[in-house]
Amino acid sequence: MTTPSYSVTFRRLLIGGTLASLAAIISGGLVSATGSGAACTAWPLCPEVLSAPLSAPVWLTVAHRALVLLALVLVLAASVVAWQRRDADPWLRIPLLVAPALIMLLSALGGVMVWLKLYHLADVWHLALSLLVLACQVVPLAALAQPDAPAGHVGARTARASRQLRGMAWWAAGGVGVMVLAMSARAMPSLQLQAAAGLPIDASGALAISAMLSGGTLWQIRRSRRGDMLLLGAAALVCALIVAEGMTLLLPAAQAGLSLGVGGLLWGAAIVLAVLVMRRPLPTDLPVVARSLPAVERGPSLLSDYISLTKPKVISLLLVTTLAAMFITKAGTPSLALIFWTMVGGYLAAGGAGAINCAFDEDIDINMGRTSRRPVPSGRISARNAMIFGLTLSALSVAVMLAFTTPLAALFSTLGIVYYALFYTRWLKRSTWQNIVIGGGAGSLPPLVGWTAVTGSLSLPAVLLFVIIFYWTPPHFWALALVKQKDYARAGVPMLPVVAGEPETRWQIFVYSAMMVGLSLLLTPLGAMGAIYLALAALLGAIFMRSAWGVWRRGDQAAIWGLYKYSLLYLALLFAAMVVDRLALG
Amino acid sequence: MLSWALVVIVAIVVAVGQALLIRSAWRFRKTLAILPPGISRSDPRGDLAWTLVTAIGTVAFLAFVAQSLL
Repeated sequence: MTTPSYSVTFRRLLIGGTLASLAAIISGGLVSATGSGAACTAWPLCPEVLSAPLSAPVWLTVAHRALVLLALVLVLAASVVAWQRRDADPWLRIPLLVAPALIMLLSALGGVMVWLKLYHLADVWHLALSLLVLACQVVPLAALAQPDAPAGHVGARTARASRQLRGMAWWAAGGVGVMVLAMSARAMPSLQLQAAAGLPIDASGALAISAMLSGGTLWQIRRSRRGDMLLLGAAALVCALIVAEGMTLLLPAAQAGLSLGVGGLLWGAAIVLAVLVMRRPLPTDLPVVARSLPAVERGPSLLSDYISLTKPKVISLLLVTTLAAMFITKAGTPSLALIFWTMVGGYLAAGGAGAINCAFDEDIDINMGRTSRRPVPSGRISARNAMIFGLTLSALSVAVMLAFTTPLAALFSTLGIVYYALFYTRWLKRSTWQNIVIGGGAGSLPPLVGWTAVTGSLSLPAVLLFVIIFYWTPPHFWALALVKQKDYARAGVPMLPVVAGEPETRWQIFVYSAMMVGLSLLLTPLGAMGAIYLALAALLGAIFMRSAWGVWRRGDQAAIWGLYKYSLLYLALLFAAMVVDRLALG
Repeated sequence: MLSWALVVIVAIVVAVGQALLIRSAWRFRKTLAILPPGISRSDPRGDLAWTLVTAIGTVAFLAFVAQSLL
């Protein structure tokens, strides 16, 4: 659909409405930040204007109301034009027809704020409506500037990439909207009021999530619309504005309303980006660089090599136990921001320790089929660079955990790095067949990190989570070692199957499994879990014991692989059962 | 009552399991003498010590669990 015949007046109305809406938002932010909302005791008129001399709060409030009135007039005028143009592009018409209802509601809410003196509580909803009104101006403006591209034939890959990009762009816009509201809610005088605003997230968490979504959108544009400089520029602008908005976190909470200037611009830019993503023409197919060589001929990129140093598959299970532990404390459901930063800190810590392990274990990894293709033994990344990378991630993890969680969580996280990267990798692994048993302590720490990130203290149920994973580790890793024992023998690692033989290892797997299953049931007697968990843990444990029995008595490869795979599932399901029990029984 | 029953059963399972593991570690002081080439011999007393540390730690934990139920 093309829009060549729209008058200059209509375009000017839209531009004027957008600017007036933005100015109303910024002035509203100033009113909030300075606490001027109560300066005018009536609505819509302000009787204090007649009293001389006029104070600054009265001026601010009156100016805000005048800007809202100007925006209302311009929005109504544009809506009338849109109503008359029944053949117009729906991207122009629908938002403009919705806008008057929103701005009326917005004005009425402003009146309620003044009459009932609910300045703070209604503030976030007042702002949310303002942002929607702004979006109703920005969407048609962007649609006017970017006529809808005619639908052409594109390949399946391009269509799929386009769908992903569209979804991501709208999620990013939504994330930005919530972030602007959350940044504004910082101005509220108490946590109770912030909670009453109904936002599911606080400012720093919302900032992080919207940065992640917008960064993902930029990355996806770079990947699938490489030649589209307008899209790239718009996405880069959104990311830059998020950084600028983030800087306003440094302002005192009472001045959070000042960030609304940047926030309004950011919201508008995010909406424009989403509209452009919907309407820009698609490439005839993915760029050449994206489909250059078949996977078998293409080596991993440097980025994927560095990511693989962090052992993401291993970390995913660690983070599951961390996350579950955060949900089962008596402190209740943690905030999204705390979850986010604990996950980020946990990934950095485990990833840093994994990279240091890769640097130290070059001589072992090169002799094992399973690990010989890792970046360090294959020479794609030097051991020195892997070490620097690991140390950097570890340092970042300490900073993130200290800044956003609790000192005890930061302590356990750091202990996990030292335990795994130094104590296990440099000493235990090479010196004793007890390496897996004692080394299991490193992998058992993540639940303590999650627990203490929420509570700030340690308790017996948290220690039990540690103990469960500690006893889970030998059956899990010895099953792998039984399958890969020749690799371990060639690499000189004294794993139990290598030094004591298969029968002894299979028997010890059964013994450790029995103790682990028994210990996993103790969360109920401790009062940390209820009947749902007890039943699920008993069921999962019974299946585990049947697998361990098969390993002990039969000892064939199928039984061993079966136990290895089930042990991964078991741990994830056991912790999921804890969360289910907590959410169901409270 | 159910809580105590569970704790007692688990304590028995752990006690038997740890006793078997300590017995194995004790036996390994001699039988691990012949190792594959390239595998260095670990200190048998150290291996036994690690086994004992695990057992003592677990018993201490169970004692805390029992104490919390009193």
